[in-house]
Amino acid sequence: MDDLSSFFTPEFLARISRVSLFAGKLVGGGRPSDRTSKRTGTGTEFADHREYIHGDDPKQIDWRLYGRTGKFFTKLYHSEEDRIVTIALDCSSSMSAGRDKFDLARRLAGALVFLATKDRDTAVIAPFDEKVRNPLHGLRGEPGFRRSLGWLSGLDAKGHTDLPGVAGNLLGLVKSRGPIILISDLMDSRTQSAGFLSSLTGKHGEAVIIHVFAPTDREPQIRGYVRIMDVEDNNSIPVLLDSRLAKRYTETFDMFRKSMKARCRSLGIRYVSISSDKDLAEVFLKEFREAGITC
Amino acid sequence: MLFGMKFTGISEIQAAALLSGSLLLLALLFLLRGRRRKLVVGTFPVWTMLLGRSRVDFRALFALFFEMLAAAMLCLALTGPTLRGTTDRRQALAILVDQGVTSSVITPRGTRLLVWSRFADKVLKKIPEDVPVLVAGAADHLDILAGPWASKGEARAALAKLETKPVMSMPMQAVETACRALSAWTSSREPAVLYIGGEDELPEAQLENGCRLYPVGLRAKVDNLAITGFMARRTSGFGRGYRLFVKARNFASRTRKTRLSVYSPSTVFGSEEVSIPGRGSIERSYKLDEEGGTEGRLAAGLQGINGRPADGFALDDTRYAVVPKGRRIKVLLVTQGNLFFSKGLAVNPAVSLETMAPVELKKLSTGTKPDVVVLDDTAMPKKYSGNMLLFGPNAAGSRFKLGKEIKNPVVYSWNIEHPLLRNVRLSSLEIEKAKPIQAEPGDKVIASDSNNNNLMVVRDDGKEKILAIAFKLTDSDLPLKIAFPVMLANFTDWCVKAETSLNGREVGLGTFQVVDNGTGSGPVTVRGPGGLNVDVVQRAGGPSIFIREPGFYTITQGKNSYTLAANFTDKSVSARLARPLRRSDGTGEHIFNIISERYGSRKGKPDRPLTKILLLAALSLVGMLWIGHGTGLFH
Repeated sequence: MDDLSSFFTPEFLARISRVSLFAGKLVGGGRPSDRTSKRTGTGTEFADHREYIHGDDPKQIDWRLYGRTGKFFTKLYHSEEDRIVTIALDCSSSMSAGRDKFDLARRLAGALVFLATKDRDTAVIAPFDEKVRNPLHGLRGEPGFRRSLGWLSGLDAKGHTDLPGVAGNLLGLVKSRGPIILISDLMDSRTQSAGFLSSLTGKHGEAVIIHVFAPTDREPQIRGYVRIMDVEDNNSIPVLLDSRLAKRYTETFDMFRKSMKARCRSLGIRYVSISSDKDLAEVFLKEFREAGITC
Repeated sequence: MLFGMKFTGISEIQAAALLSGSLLLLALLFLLRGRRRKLVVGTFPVWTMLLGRSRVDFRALFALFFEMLAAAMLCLALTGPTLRGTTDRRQALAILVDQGVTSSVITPRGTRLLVWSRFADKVLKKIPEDVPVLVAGAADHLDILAGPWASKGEARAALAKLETKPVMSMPMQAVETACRALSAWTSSREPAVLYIGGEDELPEAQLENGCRLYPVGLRAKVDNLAITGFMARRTSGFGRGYRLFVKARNFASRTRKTRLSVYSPSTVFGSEEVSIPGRGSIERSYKLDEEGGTEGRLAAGLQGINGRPADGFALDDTRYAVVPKGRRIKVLLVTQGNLFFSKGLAVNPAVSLETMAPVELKKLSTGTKPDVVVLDDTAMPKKYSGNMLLFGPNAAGSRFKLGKEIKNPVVYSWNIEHPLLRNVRLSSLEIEKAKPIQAEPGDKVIASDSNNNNLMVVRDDGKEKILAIAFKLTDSDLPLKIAFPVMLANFTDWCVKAETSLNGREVGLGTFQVVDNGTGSGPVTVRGPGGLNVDVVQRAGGPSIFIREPGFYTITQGKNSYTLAANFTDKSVSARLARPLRRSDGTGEHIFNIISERYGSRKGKPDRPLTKILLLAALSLVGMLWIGHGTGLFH
């Protein structure tokens, strides 16, 4: 397995440093941060008033409001806390089938960890196949990013995919209400089920699906009588794969992406599909910006 | 010719080889597709969205079926098939030639069979080339020699295979079989059957399945002579030999002169010119000395005055016979001094008589068993088994149930065909009293009175032969009649199979004869007329031979051998040959008008070549397959 550290060169990091992960809803991770939390606390951004109760800091009493109402009100401010970005990385066998697809997925995960830690957020990497296996928690700052690169380099793609099951796992895994970023090729017969997509959002509010695929996933190059075999099990279909059938297949694949995008949009999930032959920095600066994943 | 089609391209064998090769290749390609390259993908769900999850490749099987169909159509097209017009189908023709025994009659133009074959050949010349023809020989069954889609060349070749069979013809059965064959095999709506033979009893008629029968009686009558009787009787006194009786008959209406000869291989007993009146007969007798206890072979024959055959039908001109070797018949007479029996039995010169009183019957089982026991109203012990004449109610009651005594019965009917009553006349027999015998299943009643009271009953179970008589000898006037010693002689001869007639070992032509003599001592070999070996075939009754020619057949099994005489004995055929034809002109010329009418004009649809249609259909199928594969219809 290649060491991801060599990919994340200072130049690459400098290019993607120009963008940040989407702000999203106000959530709190519990640790002090630059990011405004939904909680009220010691921040600088005004949040609300409430009636003064004994023990409140008298400095926080709004005297102007007292002048108008004759009652004491205390000013409340948003607490500034970090957020937890959960990156779910598909490590099933299908990710290894297309050229560079799994490498792209790991690099995406590493870059997303970089952006999250850059913004003083906490990142969690949750690799999964049939279920989430040994997530890497508490990635903060430069050390957390470096730690994630070494950890990602050691991952293998194997096992079956069970996205609905994984969605359930993620619900139990993520305690705070941070965004979930799913990096996957979405190759599961149940991928399009509404339950899977809606459970991704659930109570956590925001989710992002980054659909990765290899160019050969979309346009098969082989021709002739072939037996198409599923990399994850022994299912197979004998076909005469000629140009017409290849074209129909590409159309079906694109239709699959479109339908996924439409479903995600209807559920408020950000969706972007990335081919493994794309320049990753360009992806962050262009496709992700267009999809609202970075800003 | 197949399914009403003829083929003008490559031969059927080449087409079959090509088709087999093509189908094999397609099947191999189909099987090799199963070993196609594997494309391992991570996007299998997308493929299933496109192609479905069908595990069994039905569409590929459909494709294979259509590919094979296209290959078959192409191969068939290469054979140049042509669908025959409807005219030919409607006018299928069967030519049946009588090859029964009468087809051997010699005419000035050759044998009848030859004449009939030539006539059939003339018929073949008159019909168009493409009329489907069936050629068959008709005797006791139909023997199809060519067809039903034979060409004229094949039909002519089949006519050359016709040969006379020594059996009577059964024309109607043959015609019906031919009708069924034509209907089943040719789909003909109006098949025709032409029966060429010597008789004209068959009517021209419409038969089943729309089949039309045209009989052709083609012959001239034969002034037929025949030996109709040839038998021998022993002369009085054992060892003195036989008296031969010969009867020759003239079936023609005019008087015929012929030479009658009776001979054995070593001796001519008589040879004389005789004149036989029209529809009359003559009888002659000759003396024959016994030949030292061996089988003798005799023949009686008719020849022409000038040394030529007596007539055109030679089969009934000679009669063969075997004289059985003589031996003494041991007869035990159980009587209380009745001399009628001893004198009556002595009339048969072969009988060696021993007399015993009824009280001495106990000794019977301990001594040597006689050939025949004659009991004069004396009961036979139950334990004894053998041939016996039970004369009188007491004797008959030891083996049969008897009825109540009747007074003065009159013999009303007796079976003159039975060997025991041959030359026995019972019409004026006086009987004072009798006890009727109750016959059991298997028993034969050979004499009874007007009230159906059984007076003489025969039992023959294969082990013992019994003649039971319901009255005592002394209660009737039978001892005073000539019938008495004749009946005794018949019985003793019958018990030991020593036939006084020469016909005892006579068999008819065209029959199967069992030749196993029961000794089980090795294989059976048979030599027929002329000393030629005769094939022994296994049949239900045992090893048998087919009697094809008249003459002597010597059967040998181990050390045992015996001889059969085979004769043509059907007098009705001999008589029929001399009758003139009743209806047809005897030339068969009328049939050519019918043929001209049926086959002269060509009606219906013409032949239709199928090559282009098949090629077009096959190419269309290939095109459909191409499109189907291209559009993924078969994926």
